[in-house]
Amino acid sequence: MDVEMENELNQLIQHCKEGDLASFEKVVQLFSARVSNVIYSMINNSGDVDDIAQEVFIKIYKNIATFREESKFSTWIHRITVNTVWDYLRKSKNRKTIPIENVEPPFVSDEHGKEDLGKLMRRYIEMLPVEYRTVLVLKDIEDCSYKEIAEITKCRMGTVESRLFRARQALKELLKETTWWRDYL
Amino acid sequence: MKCAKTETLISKLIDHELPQNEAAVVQSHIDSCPNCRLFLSELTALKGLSKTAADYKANPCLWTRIAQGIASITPVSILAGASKLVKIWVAMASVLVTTTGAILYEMHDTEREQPTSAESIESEIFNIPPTPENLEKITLNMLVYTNGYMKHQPEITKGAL
Repeated sequence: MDVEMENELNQLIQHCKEGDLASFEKVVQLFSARVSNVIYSMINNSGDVDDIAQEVFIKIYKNIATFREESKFSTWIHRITVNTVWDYLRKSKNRKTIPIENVEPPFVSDEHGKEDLGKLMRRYIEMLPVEYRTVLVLKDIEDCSYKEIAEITKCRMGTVESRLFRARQALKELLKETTWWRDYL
Repeated sequence: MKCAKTETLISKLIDHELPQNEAAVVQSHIDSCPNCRLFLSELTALKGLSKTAADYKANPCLWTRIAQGIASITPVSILAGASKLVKIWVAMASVLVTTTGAILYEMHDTEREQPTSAESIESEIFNIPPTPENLEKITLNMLVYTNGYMKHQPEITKGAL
């Protein structure tokens, strides 16, 4: 994000803190795609994405006055998003606790287009334990730094590093079962 | 440098989280090791593939839903994050405003619904000159007077009956 955009965002945040709904609408426009995609990649259920995104933004609106600007605004939004998704997974009992070594790869067709690839990757990501899934989505999809991921998930940077490495190893093992993986490299 | 150690560093390398000097050491190992070279290409491919998972088309009606959600936030839920002292002050202020409003309404209501007294009708009757033209008006006022008197003196009416 360039300096001009950052200044504009800071102004929007100040207006939101004063209760300006029009500024909050702009914040929603800026972040809705990112928030929705983090949710979708983590839950792999398109039917619930909007409900969770709505909950996330209402939480942001209610708590924006408490945002102390010690971290990046996007980091703060990600923390709220991740916490809301974790709550959802806990409630819907979708939270995976299967050890990675016991994870069975799903059936994969030899011929799949780009759209199917996204679906397939979400299916694989969904198989990962939620802690691994979170760091993988935040790093590979949202391009957060290790430091930001540590702030979002409230764990040490070393933990982020090892979870990310294990998540990638597990995904790699799953992809090795497919017939197209070698050709893809 | 051993391959097992390099693998963890390759993960950091593709994320640009390695200091420049360490990255150079890892890169030189990769150049000389086919296994680690393969590992690097696998992780790079994996990173690209993970991005394809984020293909959700944001709902254009999301803002409408959020705005509706915000509108339905009750004052109580707005105070959810407030301190206990603030909540007590808000509660006391609400009680004060409600009580004052009720008293003011009651006073206004009493003034508005004050019934016409029999005395005021009486003064009207005796102020009309007793001419034939006013006969009808006087008769009507007399009836109203009698009715008002009985209304305001129910105990006498009961006694008379």
